[in-house]
Amino acid sequence: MRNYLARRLLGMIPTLAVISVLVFIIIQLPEGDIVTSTLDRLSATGVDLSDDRIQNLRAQYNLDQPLPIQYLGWIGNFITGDMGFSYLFARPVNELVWERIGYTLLITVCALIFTWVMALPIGIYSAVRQYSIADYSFTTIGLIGLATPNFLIALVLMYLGYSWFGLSFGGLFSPEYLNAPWSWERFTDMLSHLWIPVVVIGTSGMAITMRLMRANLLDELKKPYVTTARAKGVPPLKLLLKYPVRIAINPFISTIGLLLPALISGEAIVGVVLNLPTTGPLLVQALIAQDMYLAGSLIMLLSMLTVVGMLLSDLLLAWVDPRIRYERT
Amino acid sequence: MTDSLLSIRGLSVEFKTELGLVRALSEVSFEVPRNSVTAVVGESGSGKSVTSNAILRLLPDTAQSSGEIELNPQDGEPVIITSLDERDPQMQNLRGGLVSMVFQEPMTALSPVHRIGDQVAEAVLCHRDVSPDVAWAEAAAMLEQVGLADAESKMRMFPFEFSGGMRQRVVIAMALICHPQLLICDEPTTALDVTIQAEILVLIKSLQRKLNNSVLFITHDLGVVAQIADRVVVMYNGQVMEIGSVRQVLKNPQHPYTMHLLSSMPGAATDFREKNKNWSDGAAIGAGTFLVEADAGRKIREFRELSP
Repeated sequence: MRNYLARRLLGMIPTLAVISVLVFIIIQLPEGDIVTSTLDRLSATGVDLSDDRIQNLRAQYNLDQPLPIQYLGWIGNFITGDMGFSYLFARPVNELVWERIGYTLLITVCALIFTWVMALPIGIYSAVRQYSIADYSFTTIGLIGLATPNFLIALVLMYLGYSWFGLSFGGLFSPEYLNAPWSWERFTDMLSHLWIPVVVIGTSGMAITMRLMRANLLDELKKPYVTTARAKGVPPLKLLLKYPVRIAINPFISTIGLLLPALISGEAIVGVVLNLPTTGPLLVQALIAQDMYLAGSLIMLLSMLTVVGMLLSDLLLAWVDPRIRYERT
Repeated sequence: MTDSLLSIRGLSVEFKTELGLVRALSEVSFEVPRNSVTAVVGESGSGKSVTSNAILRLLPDTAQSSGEIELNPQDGEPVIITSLDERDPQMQNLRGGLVSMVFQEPMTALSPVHRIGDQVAEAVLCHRDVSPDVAWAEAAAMLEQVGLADAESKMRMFPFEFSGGMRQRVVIAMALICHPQLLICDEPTTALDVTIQAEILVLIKSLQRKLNNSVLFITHDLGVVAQIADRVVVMYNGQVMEIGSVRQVLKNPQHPYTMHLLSSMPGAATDFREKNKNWSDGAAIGAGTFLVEADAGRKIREFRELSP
């Protein structure tokens, strides 16, 4: 097991190196750079800069260097923990990212728990009572949820909340707590805002989780070991949870790693609509302004989270499923 | 009331399918005496497994059954299994307690993610109020008894680390650990190779003598019947054709279908045909008319019970 872990951790290094190159290339692909987009904004306000000043700006941002040098400069600093400087916000990227990535993880993890707590029992119920009225109803609701874009649900909830209760759901904090230091009141204020993004983002994964659980469990219920356990005299509910559900749930554990990036990117539009202090809206802004250090570092961080998430889900899967655990040794 | 351990009376089972109702069993009646091995023999689709699954109420929800199955345990009130509700505690008590079952597919009959020892010990914990340690120890003893050497360490292993024969021994241990009065074996050797088959048959037979229980043995293999059974029930097309002692049914079959079945056995058949030239014709004609009439969906002939 320790060997396996070491091998996997070493394997992450080349993976992340390749990702970093790709990230850098993708960020460079669109026409122009931070200077041209700054010039665009300036000229829109009627200010024109001289060629000299433009050259100076480029030199200041290291944009006059060849691309490989720019890449090495960026990744070299990244490894030492310095993610560069955001020209857009005129602040170090580190500051910008760390304050947001915490909220992003908080919302993502809550949304994931919400999805599973809601969807897995429904999936189990639909499988056990296949073709019942409840099965059909859940399926219908689930498919509507799947077909409705998240941001639309967010908008509808915000509208209803405002017109019925006069509440404003935007953001994660009420205005008076926005820049306040952490306190119990600020924490409860956050919780009262948190459920909206959690529900909105969590709903998107519900339909598919529900249907997958139903399909997996239907497959498992037909397996002979279920009959064996019944013939042994195991009571029905205990049998259901201990045998087929236990095995049908394994595929979900292996998708935790994939769910993280999906939830984080799916969260971008919702984040813009709900004005959340998460990485999604920040990434969108950075990409529009071609703020390359901010955008690149964000994408790089999300990729790292994904790779680590995959490793975690593989380890979890090996822990719950002996068939996988023993193949490796 | 009879003195048999198990009486099946007029059992009919139909399955709801997209093509309408399909009749799997019609009016099946037979008895399983105490302390003996009763074999149910017949070709694929004759309703052997449906019968055995009906006893433990393991049929799928699409099955509708009528008729009566009565279990008459040695020291206790007789139970009409067919009148019990699925959630009735008496039903859980029955399954694995008084009646237990060995299945056809040892490769898939065990849960792939639970340890062997836990799966066997669970059977004890389901039926008796003992500590997990006691259950574990009993499981170890039972596994030794079915011929699994070094059971203590094997119990910590998982089914995928076992061969088919070893898994079938585990399933048998699991079935016998609560000392059931009736052990149902649904083609327990079909998925195994011939040497292991013979070992498992000897094991089942010797354990039956030792534990003094009854075995209902489902098979399509007349060779196995000859080896293990005391009594034979011949089934075809969801109906009982003939019931008798193993000697009578194999040596002196009364029903044309039984003759047909016997003469279709490879190897034994030439000798069998030689010795009973007069039957071969009769069997052929009999089986012929039998099949025609079975197609017409009628009951051919009242079966005759010669040696009760």
